[in-house]
Amino acid sequence: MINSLNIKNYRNLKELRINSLGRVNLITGKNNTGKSTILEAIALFASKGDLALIFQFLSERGENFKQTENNKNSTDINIRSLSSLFTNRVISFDSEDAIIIGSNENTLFGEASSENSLSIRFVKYLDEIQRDNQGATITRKRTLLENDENGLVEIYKVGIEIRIGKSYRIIPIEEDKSYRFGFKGISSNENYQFIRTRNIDKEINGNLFDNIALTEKELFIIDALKIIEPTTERIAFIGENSRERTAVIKLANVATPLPLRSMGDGVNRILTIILALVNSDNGFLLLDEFENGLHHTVQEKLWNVIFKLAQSLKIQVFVTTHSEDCISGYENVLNNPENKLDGKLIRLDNINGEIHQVEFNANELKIATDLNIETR
Amino acid sequence: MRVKEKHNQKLLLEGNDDQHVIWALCDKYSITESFDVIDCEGITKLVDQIPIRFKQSNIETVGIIIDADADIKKRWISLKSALELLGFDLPIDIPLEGLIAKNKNVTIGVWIMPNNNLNGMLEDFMSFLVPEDDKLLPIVTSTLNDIEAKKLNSYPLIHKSKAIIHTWLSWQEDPGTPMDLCITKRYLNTNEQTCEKLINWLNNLFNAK
Repeated sequence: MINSLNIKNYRNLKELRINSLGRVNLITGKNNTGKSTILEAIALFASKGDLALIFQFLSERGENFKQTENNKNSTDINIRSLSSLFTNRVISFDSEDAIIIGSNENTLFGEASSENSLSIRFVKYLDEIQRDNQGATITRKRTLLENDENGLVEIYKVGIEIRIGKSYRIIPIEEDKSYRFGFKGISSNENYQFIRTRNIDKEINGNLFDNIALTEKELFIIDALKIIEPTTERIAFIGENSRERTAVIKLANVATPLPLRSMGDGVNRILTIILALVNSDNGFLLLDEFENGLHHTVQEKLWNVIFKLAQSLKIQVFVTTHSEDCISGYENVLNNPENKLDGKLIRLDNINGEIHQVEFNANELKIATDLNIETR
Repeated sequence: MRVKEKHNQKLLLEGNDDQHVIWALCDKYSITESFDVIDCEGITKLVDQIPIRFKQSNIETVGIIIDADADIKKRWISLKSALELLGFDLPIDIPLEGLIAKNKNVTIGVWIMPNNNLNGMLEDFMSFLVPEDDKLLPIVTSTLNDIEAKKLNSYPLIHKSKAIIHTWLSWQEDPGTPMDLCITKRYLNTNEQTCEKLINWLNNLFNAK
């Protein structure tokens, strides 16, 4: 769990500092303030800089550029793609322009990014290859070329450095992508699940169900589905091959199982969310646009389930929303005397192009909801 | 009365009566409606929501009108300390013409009824507006003094000004006219000095930009 969040130079988040976070956090704000970007940043942090994830994010935004007739220089194309991650698409070798994602720490010198922050930046490096007589590679070493403002060294390569504390890797970017996908981040990643707004039914993942089938977590799923379909008895994934399995649901008053997709958005959305939750023990659940497909009467019930599972499975939850119903459902559950978890509502404001955050604690949120004060 | 809020400027008031009186004054003086007039349903809820108002999206101005009640000094000091936590530098006493101050991003205004000087409430302010040569007001006052002497009054003495203004209103042409309508119907003299100060404060706070 992270108690605060510091994001620098990641997309439109030039410098964002959220001073305190709770176990279950709700992020709101107008379009283009960076709500989804925060979730992406936390996913990158949790994955410890997984390159496959970085390229997935680039592809989703149409920023994973491909070779064209006019430009076959793969280094250029890769630099252009990766620069999309940086604020104002700056291509810079200055460590001040590095992407930093992590929590804050109080040090002797004031607040700073904590040791385990993720940092991503462009670097210049020298490839030092030692070969034997036959020309086969014996050792291969990449040495960082720092502080070369005057451009004294003429022959260098451009790479991307992914760093956490003292551990770092320099990833060459002139090579083809299949090589890079092998890089799974610095040290083992933390458990997380990220639910995006797109492709809801594609995200219902049979493998996530297999992980928990026949455990008590299966019961969590049935209970959650009962929010929308009270006669739910069981669910399963069936199909001809393991790649294309679809969820089916057995209802009490219907003899044969029904395809879940026949049931409407709500049930499918709930299954997506709960499957992700029960697979994020001790990690993070990132959920973009909570209200998608959910009637407002269902939202508070779903918050209840999220809070309970976040507590029992020790998950830190980050959710974005535009919906007033979502916020008021969240507030009700957060301030319910039975709830033991801490929570924060964070609104992002775009003030002259800079993104600022406003934080509401549980008590402030209660006053705002009781007195009908708009927090969005 | 709850209103649909649509401005980045808010005027927070203790009650429904205050809200309607302000609306009537704005109407009469053609004050540009550049702010939401919000009935906070009591002093506690008003004070509770101040910090949250400052966190509202794009908030520019927060005006506050509260009653002095029995001790204007005490009222000001407690409000002042709440506002200082939000980064305002405020004077020891509230200025007679009402307070207007700025922090980094937001302008704040405070008016303490009736006139930033005396103890009392909205109804005391209203009684200032009774025309000077009015023949009924002295009779209202002596009647109330009389029933108080006989211990026949059910109202607590702190609410005497409420009893005075509502008694006076009930002796006008159309008994039962609420306070705000008396401004519209010209029973009351809104050219009075305190009233003009309040109008100036509202305009300076909300419409000076």
